[in-house]
Amino acid sequence: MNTQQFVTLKKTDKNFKSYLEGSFSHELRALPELSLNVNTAREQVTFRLQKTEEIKKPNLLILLFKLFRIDWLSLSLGPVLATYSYLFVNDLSIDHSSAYLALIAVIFFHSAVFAINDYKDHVTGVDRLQLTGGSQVIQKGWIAAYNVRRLGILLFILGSLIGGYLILQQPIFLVAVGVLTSLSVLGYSFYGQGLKYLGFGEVIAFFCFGPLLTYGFSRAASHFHSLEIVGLGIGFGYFAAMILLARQMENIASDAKLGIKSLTVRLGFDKAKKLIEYTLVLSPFVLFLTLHFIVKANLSYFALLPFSYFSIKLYLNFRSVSSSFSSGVEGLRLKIADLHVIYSTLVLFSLWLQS
Amino acid sequence: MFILTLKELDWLRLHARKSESMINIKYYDSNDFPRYLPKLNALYDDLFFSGKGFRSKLVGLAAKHLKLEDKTYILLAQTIEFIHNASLLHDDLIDRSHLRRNKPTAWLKYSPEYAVLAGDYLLARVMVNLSSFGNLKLIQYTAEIISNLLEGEWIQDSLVNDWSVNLERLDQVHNLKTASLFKWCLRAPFVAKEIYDDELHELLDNSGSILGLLFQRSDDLLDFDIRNFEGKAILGDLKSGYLNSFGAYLLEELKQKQIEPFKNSQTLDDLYSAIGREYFDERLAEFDHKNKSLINLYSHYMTQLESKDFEGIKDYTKDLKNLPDILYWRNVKK
Repeated sequence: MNTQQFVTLKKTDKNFKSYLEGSFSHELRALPELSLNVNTAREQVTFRLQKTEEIKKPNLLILLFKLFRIDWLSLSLGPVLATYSYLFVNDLSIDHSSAYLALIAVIFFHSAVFAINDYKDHVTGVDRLQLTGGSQVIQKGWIAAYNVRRLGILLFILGSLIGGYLILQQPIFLVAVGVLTSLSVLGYSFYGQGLKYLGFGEVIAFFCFGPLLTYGFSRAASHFHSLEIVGLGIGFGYFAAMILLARQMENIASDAKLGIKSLTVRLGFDKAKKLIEYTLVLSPFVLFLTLHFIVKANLSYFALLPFSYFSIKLYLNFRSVSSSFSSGVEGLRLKIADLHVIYSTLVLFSLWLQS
Repeated sequence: MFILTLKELDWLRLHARKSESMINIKYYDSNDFPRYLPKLNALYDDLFFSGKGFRSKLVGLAAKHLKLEDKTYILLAQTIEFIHNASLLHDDLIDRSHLRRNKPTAWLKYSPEYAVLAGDYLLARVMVNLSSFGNLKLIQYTAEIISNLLEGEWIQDSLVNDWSVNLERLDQVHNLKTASLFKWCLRAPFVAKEIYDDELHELLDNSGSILGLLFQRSDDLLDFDIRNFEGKAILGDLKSGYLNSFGAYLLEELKQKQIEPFKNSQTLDDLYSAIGREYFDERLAEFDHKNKSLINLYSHYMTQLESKDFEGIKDYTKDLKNLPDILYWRNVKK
């Protein structure tokens, strides 16, 4: 098959699901064509058929790295390592085997969320209308969608089994918290359009990558809990929510036309831009609060200077953005992710410096 | 502005409505506009008499095969040309362009206020004329298209002097701004004939998007003197601070130190010095290849369209199949 072949299928067609999920053939991959027409893209899909052997795939390690968004692992590992460091420097007893299990569960959940998110965006057609986001492994034909779903579910189950074992050693109310967290994670992408598309995404991101994570890890690793542990998570959750906000800003136009009620759509471009600007300006303050009240390390206040430089620079660049189509919005979430990494590094550094 | 050669226009004229009165359809008549408004008729005379009416001829293709009544065809042709020219009046003021079709632009010759109002008046006339026709779905659809056109214009204005915007983003803008009218040309005749089949309209919509993109990309290539048979002025977009689709494509792989001289190029020689002739030619070949893929997809949609069970659809599709060659490659098959 040298020339490009296309097939258009209606959603009611009996073969539609198998083409979309990639299970219709081992030799061919059906890659949905990107759609520019929001209102009409939902009734039928045009697939470009490509031989799987002709698709240039990276090696398995890189493929899995991209699928499970290992480049975004700092979102999950940052709070976990900060909590571990906090426990260690404050001489709290740590059950290392539980700590390692908790870490593995976090990595499984992290990978599962992103994989399931990719799958869901693919089958709902969101990734045919939104240009950015996702690992792109399905769109590029590197792996069939049904395999992504299977891997996502498998990792979620493994994470739940480990998490379940750890949670059952906790008081009953924490079991409820754990179950609620898991449901939130699933609901982020799976429930209907996904809770992220109903304006709850930032809230879920804040808690799941912030206070719930630090608190949960602390309970699992040392049965310890305190307000400071929760406070430690607030900063991480803050940046996670900011990343999601930036992501939604990129897709505000297509989301609005799709009827997706994300926070940025509800606020509109101008107010959402203001919100992002405020969060950027306030981010050094968030670091200060963490260092002052949680870490309590005086010398680490010097860390505020470089961090403030990066966040204010980002703010000034973003201020000149005039529409969601501007290039200034395009890479914003990646730059905020960098800010998150810097924040994590400074908190960890300050904790260890204190010891 | 898109420029067709005389050969391309001849092809369209021959394939449009064959009746004598329709070959050179008159979609503008000064009697349709109040003479008591100063300078209005003069402004429209300047605007309409130099236009080639490509979009109305595209409507003519559908009118022929769908056997639309003459008055319906005239209405549709007038509607699309009014919308298109209204957007030109506004565009020229927004961009502060000095020339349109080798003549001074309306805002410069008359006044910015008159240019805005003249554009608004054309859009109002569209609504008046369509209301008289009485097809509510046609009115609704036309209003949606005007809305999309304005959105595209709004967003495009926000991208001036943005040198990092990528091709995918520009495609979204062009789909709103340019492709909207092409989609209308394909769909409106069916709506006027009260054919509302969802699948048919989705096909026409997707086909119209591709035609619009090809049209825009070809026009953007003219700015870099590619297939510039009519000798249009070059690098106008670049000099105005606007990165068009091919400009964005060129910029994608450039090193940081090459971007500034690229932006400041006043002539093609400057451009080649900034980025290298070999790089330019490589990217052009890749850009053409990208668009060939789009044309293949368009052919697929035409095959689908052909299989639809509507009177005249097969012959209509035969004519539509030739459009990419005209719009993108600027070749006319005999």
